[in-house]
Amino acid sequence: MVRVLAALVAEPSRWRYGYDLGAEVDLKSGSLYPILIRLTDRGLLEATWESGPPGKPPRHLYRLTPAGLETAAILTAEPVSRPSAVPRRQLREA
Amino acid sequence: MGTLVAVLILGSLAIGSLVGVRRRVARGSTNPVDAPARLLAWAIGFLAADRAEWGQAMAGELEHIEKRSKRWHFSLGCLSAALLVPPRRADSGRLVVGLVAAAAAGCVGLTLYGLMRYPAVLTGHGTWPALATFGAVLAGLTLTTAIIVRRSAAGAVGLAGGVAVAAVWIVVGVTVVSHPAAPAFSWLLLALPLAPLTVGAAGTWRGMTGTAGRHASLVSAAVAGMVLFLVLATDALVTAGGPYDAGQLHDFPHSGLPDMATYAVSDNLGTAMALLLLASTTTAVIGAVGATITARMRHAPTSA
Repeated sequence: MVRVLAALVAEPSRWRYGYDLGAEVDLKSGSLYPILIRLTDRGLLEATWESGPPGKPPRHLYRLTPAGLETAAILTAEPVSRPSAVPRRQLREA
Repeated sequence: MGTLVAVLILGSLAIGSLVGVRRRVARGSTNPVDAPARLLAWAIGFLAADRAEWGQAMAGELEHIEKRSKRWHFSLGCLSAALLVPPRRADSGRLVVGLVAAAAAGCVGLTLYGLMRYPAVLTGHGTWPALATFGAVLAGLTLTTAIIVRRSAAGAVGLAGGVAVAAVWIVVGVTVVSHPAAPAFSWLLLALPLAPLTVGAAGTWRGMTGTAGRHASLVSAAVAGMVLFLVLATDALVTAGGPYDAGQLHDFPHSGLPDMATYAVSDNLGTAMALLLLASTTTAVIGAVGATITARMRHAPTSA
């Protein structure tokens, strides 16, 4: 969740697609969507719909709410020493 | 053999109903074009009704993934997410699903105990197909309940209605079997269709739509069937199949089973399995009729 918040707080005003966000933080959809849903339930994330071209379904976009920005600032400012906070790509490259 | 045929027919009906429910649940969310899209359309049917928007979000995202392997990974991930994400609103749904799953586990446990206590039952004709059908039906009823309860608020009515329907079956069955020569008690048989009709009507009344009533009927069907099986199977195992009726005493010598108790337990467990299917199927069908009639009488939508 911290990685998702950190990615979102990097560009707080930008709306993000779910798939792109997952690729950025290296999270599969099975982990990403429960996190996005929890963040939305807690009022930390807002979502909107982007109309797609004719015949295509609309796409969900996400960005942090003011409360989400505050929470992200607090969480991402804390030193993180847990192994889970290390990106998986780094582990694979090690 | 007749029991096995009835089991297979009713099993097919139950599976057909399940497929119909799944199609209705998943319909309208997306337009599947390939296997990952079809998987996702199926998966988002597991989301709770108040999470439907997230299913649309997943479907919208999949449309923009082109590589087939990535589409598969995305859809499989969404399936696990859909199964794990709880409903937003805390309600009685989890309790109902938990109770139905526990009842299904109890049905399996009783059957396994019976087979361990009377292992010769496994040598009887048609035992293995009947056990396979029984397991599939239990899994189907549990899955149907889980899907319906996540998608609607029919759980409480369905649970209460199912217990009531099972109680009616037991009371009517015991009374009619105990007093076969008393025609007055035959009127009690009318309670068998009236109980599920009432459940369907109550579900429609409470949920304001015919769909809500049909959902309540389906949940009550699963509950009623399992409760009936638990009662009948427990009775068969506690009494070792006794008291033996004239038909059992007549048929036992031709059964090939080693003793009367094994034969009676086998026969009674088979009857309990057949009743599980019969009660759940008739409850679902009659309840759905009651729900539809009530919706039309109230001028409520017959579908959601």
